[in-house]
Amino acid sequence: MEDHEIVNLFFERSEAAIKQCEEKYNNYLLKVAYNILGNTEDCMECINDSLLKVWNKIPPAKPNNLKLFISKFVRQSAIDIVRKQSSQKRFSGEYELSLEELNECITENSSQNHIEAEEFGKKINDFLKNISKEKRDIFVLRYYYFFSIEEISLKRKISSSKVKTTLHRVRKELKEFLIKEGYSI
Amino acid sequence: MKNEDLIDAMNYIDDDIIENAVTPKKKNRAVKWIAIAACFCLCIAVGTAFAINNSKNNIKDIGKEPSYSSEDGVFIPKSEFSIPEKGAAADCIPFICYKDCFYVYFFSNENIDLTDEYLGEAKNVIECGRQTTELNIDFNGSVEGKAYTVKGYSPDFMLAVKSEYSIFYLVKNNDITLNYGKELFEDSLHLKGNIEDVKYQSRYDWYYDNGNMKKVDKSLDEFLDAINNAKFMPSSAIPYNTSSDNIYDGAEIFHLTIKKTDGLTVELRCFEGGYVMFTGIDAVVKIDESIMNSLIP
Repeated sequence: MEDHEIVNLFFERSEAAIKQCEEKYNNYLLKVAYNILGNTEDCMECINDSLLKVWNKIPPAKPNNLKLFISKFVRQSAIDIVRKQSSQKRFSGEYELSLEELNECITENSSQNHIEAEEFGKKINDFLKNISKEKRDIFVLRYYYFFSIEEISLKRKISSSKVKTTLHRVRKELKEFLIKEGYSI
Repeated sequence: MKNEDLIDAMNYIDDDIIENAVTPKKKNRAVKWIAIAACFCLCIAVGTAFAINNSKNNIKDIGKEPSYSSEDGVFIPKSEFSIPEKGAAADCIPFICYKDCFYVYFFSNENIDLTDEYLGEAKNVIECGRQTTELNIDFNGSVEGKAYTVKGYSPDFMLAVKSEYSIFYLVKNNDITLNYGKELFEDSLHLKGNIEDVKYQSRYDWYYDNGNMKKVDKSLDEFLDAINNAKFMPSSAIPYNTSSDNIYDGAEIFHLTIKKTDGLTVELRCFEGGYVMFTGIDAVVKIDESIMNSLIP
């Protein structure tokens, strides 16, 4: 079923919409969640919660890209689960490693108060649009999808060290960009 | 501000940026991210051989130790596959099962097509940390495509999988016994007389991806004779600097990249003491160090 037809089902308040989303995007969503959570049980719970949120958002929302619309709920929901878990229970996978890496850009004890995610996202967007596609893709694969360095290396057919070097450079450029934009990091 | 703010903000970047990062490039078709080994979340360990290839990453080394006797050479037992426990980072390597053995990736190039006889449909049976079906079935593994024999190479040693986006060359790197270098470098890889170009790269430049690949001007004949005549031993035989925790950081000097006339590229790793290893098989030969070092200035 085409995405616009599924969206129409949401608008008609037909529960078939949820079923269609599951059928069409379950593997993709499972993968998004799994990179963060590391076990399928939590992933399924996370996907179910996210589909409920989607049900509540559409209508009035009418997403152009249904897959990404759902995936963003799944990603955020998975991140929320990880943050709630105690450090002992937490999956010490790529999410944790990514956070550590980002310490290069932003220090925890910076004086800047909590920042609104959507507004900050627009700034990050501006930054990403102005770097090369290769750098942008690697950055997104790492910090949106939480792929391991090795997975990115295989996908991009470049060495692991090249992935690491590229990420290091982009983090450095991002830090300079944020300082220039007036952020206290 | 916290680093978590940045993670949260990534949820608000443009859809096309997120989508394009995982969309294959149509022109060179080189970035198929799903076909290669179960994409996002495959957690798998492939014996010892790819611990060699990826000494700095987190592929879990679960292979049995190679057994060794000076008379029979090195026996590398059949690899065991397992999904690492929670907490292990995900990794993926193209491999398939064939005739109850595992063939594991050593080279890929979408433009070098040496595929010969069609053998069967390679199926990716590992997704999201789960095996979807039995691994020990011909052509099941971590890559999708069509499996072939390879022109000029024995199917007992090498197979190819042609996926939609690249051609993967896989070698049987386990359940094998190697006694003399000739068995691998000549009988299986057919190096002598079939070399187009040889380059070397220092361990440092390789590790930091600095490039600096330099041509080896000298003939490789003496070196090939030496590795062919030398006996195999386990890679654990390589002595290394105790301040390092592995042979790669502690003893590796340079990589030798040998491009064959048929297009396949064979990578050899050269260690202090004259130890030489084919990237992909967990065994080394020891030759006169001066012959090895004569290849580089």
